[in-house]
Amino acid sequence: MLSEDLVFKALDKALSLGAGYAEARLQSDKEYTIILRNGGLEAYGLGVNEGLAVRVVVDGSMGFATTDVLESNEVLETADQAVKLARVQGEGGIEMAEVPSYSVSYSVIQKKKFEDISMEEKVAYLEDIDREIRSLSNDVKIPSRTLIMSFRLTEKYLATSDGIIVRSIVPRLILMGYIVLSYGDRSITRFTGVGGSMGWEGIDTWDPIKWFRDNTRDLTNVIKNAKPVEPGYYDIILGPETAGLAAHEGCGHPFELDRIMGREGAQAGESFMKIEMLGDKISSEEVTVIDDPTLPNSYGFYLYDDEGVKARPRKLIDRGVVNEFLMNRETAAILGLESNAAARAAAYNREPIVRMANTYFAAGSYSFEELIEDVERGIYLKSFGEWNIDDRRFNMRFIGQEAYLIEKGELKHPLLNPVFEITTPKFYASIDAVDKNLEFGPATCGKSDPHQGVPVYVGGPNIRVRKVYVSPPV
Amino acid sequence: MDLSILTEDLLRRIMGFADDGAVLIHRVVSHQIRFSGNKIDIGKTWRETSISLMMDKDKKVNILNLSYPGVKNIDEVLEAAKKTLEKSQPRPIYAELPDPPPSYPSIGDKVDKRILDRPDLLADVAKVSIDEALVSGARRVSGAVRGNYVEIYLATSKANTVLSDSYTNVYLDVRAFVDGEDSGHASQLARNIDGLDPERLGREAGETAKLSTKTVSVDPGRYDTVATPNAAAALVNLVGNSASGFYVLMGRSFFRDRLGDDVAYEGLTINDNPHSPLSRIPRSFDDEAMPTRKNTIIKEGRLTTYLHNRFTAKVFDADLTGNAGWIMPSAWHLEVSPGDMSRDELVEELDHGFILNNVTYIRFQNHIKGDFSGVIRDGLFYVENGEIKGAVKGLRFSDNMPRILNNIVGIGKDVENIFHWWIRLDVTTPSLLIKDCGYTKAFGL
Repeated sequence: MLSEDLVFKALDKALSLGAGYAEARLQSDKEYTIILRNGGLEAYGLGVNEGLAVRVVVDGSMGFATTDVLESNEVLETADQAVKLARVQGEGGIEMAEVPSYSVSYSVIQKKKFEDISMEEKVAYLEDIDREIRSLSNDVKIPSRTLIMSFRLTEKYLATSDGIIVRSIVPRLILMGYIVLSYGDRSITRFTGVGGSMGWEGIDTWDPIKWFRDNTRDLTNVIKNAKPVEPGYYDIILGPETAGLAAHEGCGHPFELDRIMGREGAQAGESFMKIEMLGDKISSEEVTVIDDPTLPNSYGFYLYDDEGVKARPRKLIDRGVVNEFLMNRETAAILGLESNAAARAAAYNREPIVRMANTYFAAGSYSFEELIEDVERGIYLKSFGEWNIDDRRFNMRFIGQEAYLIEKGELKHPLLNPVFEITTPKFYASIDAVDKNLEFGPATCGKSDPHQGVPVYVGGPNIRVRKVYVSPPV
Repeated sequence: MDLSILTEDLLRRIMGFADDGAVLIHRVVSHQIRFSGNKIDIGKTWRETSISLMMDKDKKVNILNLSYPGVKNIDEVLEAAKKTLEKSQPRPIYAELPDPPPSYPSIGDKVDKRILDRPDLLADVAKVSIDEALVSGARRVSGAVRGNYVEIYLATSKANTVLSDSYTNVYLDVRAFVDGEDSGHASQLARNIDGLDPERLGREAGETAKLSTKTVSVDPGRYDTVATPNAAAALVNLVGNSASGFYVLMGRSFFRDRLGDDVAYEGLTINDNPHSPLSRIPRSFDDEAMPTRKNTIIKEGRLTTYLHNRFTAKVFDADLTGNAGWIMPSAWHLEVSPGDMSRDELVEELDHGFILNNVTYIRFQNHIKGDFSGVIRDGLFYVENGEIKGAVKGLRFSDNMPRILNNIVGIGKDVENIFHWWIRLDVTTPSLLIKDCGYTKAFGL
């Protein structure tokens, strides 16, 4: 149980020292982790990360200080430190967009509490997954299997000097696996998983055993039968996993207004997007990209952000047109807009900055068969292995892990790591169709200094990208 | 609270029900100044105490990580841990905590108290680097400077004393821009604030950004490359990760089944050396109370050791290396032994090739084979007959780590100590001359 009175002591102290704006956030993250390697219990543990953060704006400069000693004197000292860190900068120009005051609380209820499930049952479940994967081993070897079950219960209490109070409790469960397959001189390393903001009932919802079995089985086919890709132009169907990554990296990140304004310049990078591009048409009307923190039971779920702003779905691209950026109160104020609740902090000791939540291509009207049927020469890129994107989010690269040739509307043999390297504008301009099959997967999005990894969903339907250049790996 | 007494007390409680145990406490005070657009964005400070407990019973191992508030419920936490331990399974491969040595290495003076007490000095460092970059040709400057003061306390059931250590470190990261893609970058790590040279970093970042504005077009392909220390550090980081015994077992290492093999250019020697005066984490003992030491990972091209904790050492039937984390062993501070060529001499070796200043966002397609690509930024310069012709935009570094290690043909003497946002391990390295590096280009450029 968090000591909520400490939040108000911190706020009062910061304001008394001259802060024009102050917020204080108590946060507790309790995390259980179990690691199984090749069927044996490698490690398990409990982590509790709990403390208080104070963020202030003093004469237009921002200061941030944290403590994990939750006692009155220490909290007052922390507020003092935040104000001092703002003052050493001199006068600045930071303002915070206005938000109406309210007091709210919300929580995600676990239907089956993770903490109530015995250790034996959790380990046994991972053993079942491992057994299932191992059973697929024949002439294809599966020499290394690392399975990780992680459950985090996040409890927050936030108050701001403009009268906002938000209490929240969100549980998040995730099962991830790192699997190595080998066949002759070929090998595949696959990292995949399932998760969301749920308790143990997530196991029933996601059926992780099936997920890992199907993933591994498909890859045993790929490793045995994949043929090199002929370099050239192809129509590409991106599966939900790869489409989701493209939405996250090629739309979500460049639409973060702090990146556009240069605040991440020395770290995660800036953006090829400019503020003036609001309203520009960059894709076909088939394309809508949404970032929605309010998706029930999603991995990136929240209803109020870490500046206390009420969350809503954000249409970043609406029917091909740049519609809005992701903003916190600081960046929204620069444009004279309201924040759209994108401020997130990964832990009590991290500042809230502009982040995504659950970013995806909205479902379209096609069936998967319709996407494929008029493809003369194409590739179905179901999952990816390697990817990266430059720090302006302009130049993307994906390498297919599970990928198949398409000829005259039919799926053919698997392909050996086709490389798809394209600029973001060219990518969006080349999408012409989106199907109805919306799927999501959990991921951790990295940004900021010090590093902040926040839980997100990436996903989407299958999308078709016309006539792009594909090559084998170098 | 006296953290040494707390360490001892927690170990005593653990040993009430465990066969073996360890307590590790970190107290950290940090200050950071972040800047972008030529101005400071935020000043931050942290005061944190993290407490880690490990307990062994019947070859079962349980680990707890608590922030300081966890101490107030410690009886409840340990009771739950005891029950969990009882219901758990023994590890398939188990090794007892090692017996501690009679003494530990002395690493000398490691603390600059000003890093703890004077965040205003960090703001000054930021301002100097911004001003110098602007004078040197940049239009916009971003970066961060951070100072850390760290105290560590460790007790294990095999030792009869609480080990303690403390150190400071400070690092500055400066990125300068002229226009969107025209950028330069410089970083530096030191143990005391006087070890930073914000003028040099600002100047280098600014000059590189300015130099990047003159562009030439070059086709993708294979080119001989001089990787300057920033870029070399990113590649050497991959060596450090792949040397971890845990990653070898997990199949995330291109050194799997290569111990004792010639894996690199015969002139290449890479050490893991926490005792270096440039190490960010100059620890004298690891998390299992073994003395840290200088380990040579690659000696004259040959892979000589993996890095171990008690469990991975048992699997490989190897000696402990002083790199223990409780779950996985890790390198502390990598250093590439310098050669005798200046950077100019390395560049003169390029008939037609590149000077590569930074590789970021490295991702592997296959960790075992070592196929990867990384995003180039902060200056890729095309060189003909040893002369820079201009900056090249839009290429990606796409290659294979075993091939790169074998294709090194020259090592500079221009050693720098590199640590920045894109690399996990601090690295002391000179420039490297690498033959036939792969470069690819995006469709649509």
